[in-house]
Amino acid sequence: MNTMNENAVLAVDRFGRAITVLEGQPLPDGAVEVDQETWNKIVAGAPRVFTKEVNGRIQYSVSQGGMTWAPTFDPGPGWVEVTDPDEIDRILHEMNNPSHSDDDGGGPE
Amino acid sequence: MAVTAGCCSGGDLFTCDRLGGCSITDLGDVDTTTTAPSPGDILVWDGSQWVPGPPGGATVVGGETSTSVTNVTGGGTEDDPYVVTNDVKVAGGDNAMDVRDGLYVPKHYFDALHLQATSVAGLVPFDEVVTPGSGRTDLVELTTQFANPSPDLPMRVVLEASLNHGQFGMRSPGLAAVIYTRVEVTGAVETAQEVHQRILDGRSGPQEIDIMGSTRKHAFTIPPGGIINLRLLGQMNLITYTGSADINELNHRLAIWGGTTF
Repeated sequence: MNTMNENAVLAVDRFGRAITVLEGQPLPDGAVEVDQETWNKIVAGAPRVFTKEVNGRIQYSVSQGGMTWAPTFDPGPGWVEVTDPDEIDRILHEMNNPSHSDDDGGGPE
Repeated sequence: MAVTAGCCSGGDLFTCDRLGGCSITDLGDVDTTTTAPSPGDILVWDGSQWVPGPPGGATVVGGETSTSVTNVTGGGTEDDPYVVTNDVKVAGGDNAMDVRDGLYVPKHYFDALHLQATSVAGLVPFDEVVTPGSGRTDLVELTTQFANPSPDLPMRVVLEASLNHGQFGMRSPGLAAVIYTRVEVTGAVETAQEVHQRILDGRSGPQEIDIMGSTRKHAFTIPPGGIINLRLLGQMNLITYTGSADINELNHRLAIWGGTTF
């Protein structure tokens, strides 16, 4: 995605925004260098998905926008980031398309 | 013209007509001997006298218009060439861009954040989620931050807390429960927002309540450069539970969005 300057260093600033810095120039305070794949995700506004096990049950969370990709982002204790794209899609689908229980207690449709 | 150095022959008759044999350096405020001129040089004023120098050395200057400031540094020589820079002047009022430390920077900012936690995924009996009678209990906790990047302008934001699609299947009577989404804000702004729904089943026979959601919005202002900490909580108070009841998919969301003001 970044083809404008081959001498640019890809980074994310302290507010979670994708930035480029000329090679050899210092990064802004709080910014960190990122790889091309991560930089592309930030530009695209991709969400970050996490799971957490609580009493044997799995919880999900998703963060998108704002400081989601900021170096200081911390969803809290116990959350583990999901990196597998297929699993991310599955979780996002489940979170945004909740099923209904049936009337005999047989479980989600 | 005053000539102060002796020249030529003829005693005291120093007139312009008789200067053909003189050098220009014989003039009192000219010095072309300390630094010999190079081809192409002209006389430039060094502050006390005229000396050899490159053409244009005294004419490249900065300037200012209503929209820009041009700065010239360097002496115009091979070792010290001219460096010309330009800063755009941004007039007062509503501009999309600002100039800070000589660079264009956005003057206004808009941002949005969506944070969602699923505290109950799938179909789960109530008493596996929360112990009956244990009071208001945290089910899920998620944290993040939201910033106003502008160093000068406040940011007006809307914070929305919502509780989505908590579906209850009650196969025996005697259920009383309250579920919550709570958002706590600390840092540059201290506030909180909360929504809840209460379920009370005193009837006999199976029933199902499909809760489609509850939402509340709250507006506040983040000061210039301010960062707020957001804590999203999903909670439940299972007041009464006497038998078989399930909860299916319980989502807690916060959304915050806003932009700098004028």
